[in-house]
Order: sequence, then structure tokens, then C-alpha cells
Amino acid sequence: MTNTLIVFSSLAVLLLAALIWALRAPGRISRGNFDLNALEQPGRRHATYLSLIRRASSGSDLAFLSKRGYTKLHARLHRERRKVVLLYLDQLRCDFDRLTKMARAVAALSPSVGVRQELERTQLSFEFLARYYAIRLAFGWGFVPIAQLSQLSQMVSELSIQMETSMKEFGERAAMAVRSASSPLDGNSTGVA
Amino acid sequence: MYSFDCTLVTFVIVTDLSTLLRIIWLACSVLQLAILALIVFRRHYRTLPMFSWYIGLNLVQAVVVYGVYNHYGFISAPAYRAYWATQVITMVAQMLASTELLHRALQDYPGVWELAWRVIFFAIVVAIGYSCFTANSNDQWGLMYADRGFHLIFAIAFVACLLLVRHYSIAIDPVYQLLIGGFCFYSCGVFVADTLLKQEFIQAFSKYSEVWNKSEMLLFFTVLVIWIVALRHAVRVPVRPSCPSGGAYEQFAPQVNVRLREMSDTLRKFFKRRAAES
Repeated sequence: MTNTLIVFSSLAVLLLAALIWALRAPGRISRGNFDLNALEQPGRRHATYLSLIRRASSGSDLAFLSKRGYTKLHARLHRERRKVVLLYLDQLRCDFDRLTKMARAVAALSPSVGVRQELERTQLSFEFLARYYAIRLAFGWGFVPIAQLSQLSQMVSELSIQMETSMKEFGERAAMAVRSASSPLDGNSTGVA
Repeated sequence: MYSFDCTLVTFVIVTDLSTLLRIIWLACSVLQLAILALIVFRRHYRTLPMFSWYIGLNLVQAVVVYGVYNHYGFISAPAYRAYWATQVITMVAQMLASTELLHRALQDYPGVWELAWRVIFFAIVVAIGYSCFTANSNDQWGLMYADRGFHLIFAIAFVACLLLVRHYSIAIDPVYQLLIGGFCFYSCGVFVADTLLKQEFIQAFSKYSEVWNKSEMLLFFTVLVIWIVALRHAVRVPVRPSCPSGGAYEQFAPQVNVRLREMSDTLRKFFKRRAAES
């Protein structure tokens, strides 16, 4: 087997795999089928839990337990805090996904799309995912000290509140744009050639 | 479909088409006639005129090269020239037919089509450049390289367009899916067959040209069967709806990107702080 043959055959296999994946129906989402409720959904009320999160991520609690010699309780608290941060991270990713989904829905229905904007969003998605998985890995392998854990928890929870406001605003606008575009399709919308 | 200079394949024993090759060729012609009948009876020619031309031109090519083979023989310079001259026409028709299919599939998504045609245009420029480059070389395999280059670039461009469609969660009609998918599958198969022929079989296997011809024709046969299954169904034509105003996207997209950047930067800051503290 020559190198060229290996390269071209691998390329063909990759292309065929991509073709099959691309042709698989993505849940039949199309014009008129966009989930408008999902776009308008404001997301979980992160602000409601902010004071609890702040309290839970406070370093003084851990220091107190450590000083008093409650090692088991200290370890348990650390575990629980890690879970909370991971939950917040997951939520942040959900928000990110919903926002990109909204942007894609509006782009798909728009008469004109900016290549630069679309490329920028793709790049941002890759960056975000890379950082998200890096942080998850760091937590999974226990590379993140307690102080970092509290810090990340604080950062993510604050951002979640900002996102909540943005999501509500963008969601309403995206739903309005999609509705205005799909209204002629309501009812009997398809013909047959 | 024999496509090699007779000087190149002097050790080929066969001087005529083998029986199996004739059978596959005949079967392909029958299937193409069936597709043309489906196009007429199902009135696909209204929505897919270029695809109809593509099938028609393929049939015309078969008739022309069959006549040339009968007159000059299968392994002859006129047969070689006739095949490649007509092949260029069918390649152009293939490109136009696939572009038409994608355009029809994305007719309600002008923004996404705008991105897709740029990908196709770029692929056309690359394919022409590559073909000119290989045709200028004195290598007797120049045409084979050009053929392989065309199919490789075609497959990459159209698979990229289908990935784009998937990225925007657009559900396209199954008829279009199968027709475009068939073109991509054929192109993937052809560039592997071209590579196999050039790289492997020429030195090791005396009947490599037979294998190449059969593999390409079997690939085409498979695609024709897929297309017949697809064209049995009518293409749904949605009523052209109004799109959101252009301004909606121009306002919305940059703001969303700013928010996404903020989210990504938050995670980046986390790493920066860690690095600073350590």
C-alpha cells in the first residue's frame, strides 16, 4: 500500500462518514418547526440561587472545618462544592448552546448572512468547548484547589445571571423573527411538484 | 468507458469489451432510461431541469462512445479521445445538476444558500486550476489526475455544503438528499478507484483496466438505483414564505457573538488566574 493510496482511501472513508452523518435527519427541524417556546424560555433563575452559591463557595467554611479537625465533613463539603460548580458549568454550556441555536435559527431564515459573523461564532464555539472540557478535566483529575473552586463558582454564577437577562431578550427577538418568517407557512404550506 | 491511451496499456490482452462490462453498461443504460421516464412522468423536469439534462447527456455519451468503440475498437486512440471529450461535458453537467439540487433544497434559506454557493464556487476555481495544472504536465496520467482531482474536490465541496445544512438544522427533502448523496458517493468511489488504478494495479495486475472500468460502472449502477428509489416520490415544493428583514440578522448576530465571547472569556480568565496564582 502506498502512502497516496492510504491518504486517499482514508479521505474517502472520512467523506462517506461525514456524508452519512450530514444526511441523517436532525430531528426534522425546519422552517416552521423551530421550537419558539424554547427560544423564548428565559432559562433557570440563577439569581435565585446566587446567595446560596456565594455562601456555599465561601472559603472560610472550609478553613473553619479544617481547623476544628472535621476531616470527613471537610472532604464531603469539598465534594459537594465541586458538584455545584460542575452543575453551574453544565448550565453555562446549556446557555451557550441555546444562544448559538437561536443565532443559527435567525441566520438560517435571514435573506443574507454575514460570513464573518458565522465564522466568528463557529470559532467562539470551538474555543468555549475547548475551555469547558479543559475545566471539567481539571476538576475530574482533582487539579483544582479549593480556592479556585470558589472562584470559578463565583465567576460562573455571576455570568449566569448576565446570561439570564440576555437570553430572555434574545429569545423574544429570535422568536419574533422566526414567527414573522414562518407565518405564511402556518396551515397547508406544501405543494407537490 | 475505456479511457486509456493504447500506448499506455500495451499489455492489455482484451481487445473488446468483456461480457460482464457489456452487461453492466446495458443495465446502466436501462436504469438511466427508467430515470428519464420517471422524470417525465413525475414531472421532475420542471423542478430539476439540469438533473434531467445530466441523465440525458449520460445516455447520449453512452450512445456516442458505443458507436466509436464499434467502429474503431475499444482500445484505440479515437475511443480514448471520444470518451474523455464527452466525459468533460458530463462532468460539467454533474456540477450544474448538483448545484441545482442544492439550490432547490435551500430555496427557502437564502442566507445558507449564500454560504453554500461560495463553497461551490471556491471548489470550481480549485478544480479548474488543478485540471489546468495536470493537463499541462506531460505525464500520460494527466487526465486521470484531473479526473481524480475533480471528483475529490466535488465530494469535499458538496459534503461540506451538506454539513452546513446540518449545522443550521435544516431538514431538506429526502429526494434532494438521495440525489445529492448519490453524486457524493459516486465521486468518493471514483477517486478511490482512480488512485487504486494508478498506484497499485498498474504494476501488479495485468487486468487492472478491467477492474477500474467495472468498479466505476458498478458505482454508477448503485447510484442509479438510489436515484430511481428517490425519484419515485414527488419533490415537495413549499410555498415561498417571507423572510425576516435583513436588518434583524445584522443587529442580532453581532450582539449574540459579543455575549458568546463574554462567556468564553469567563472561562479563559479562570485559566489566567490559575496561571498567575501558581
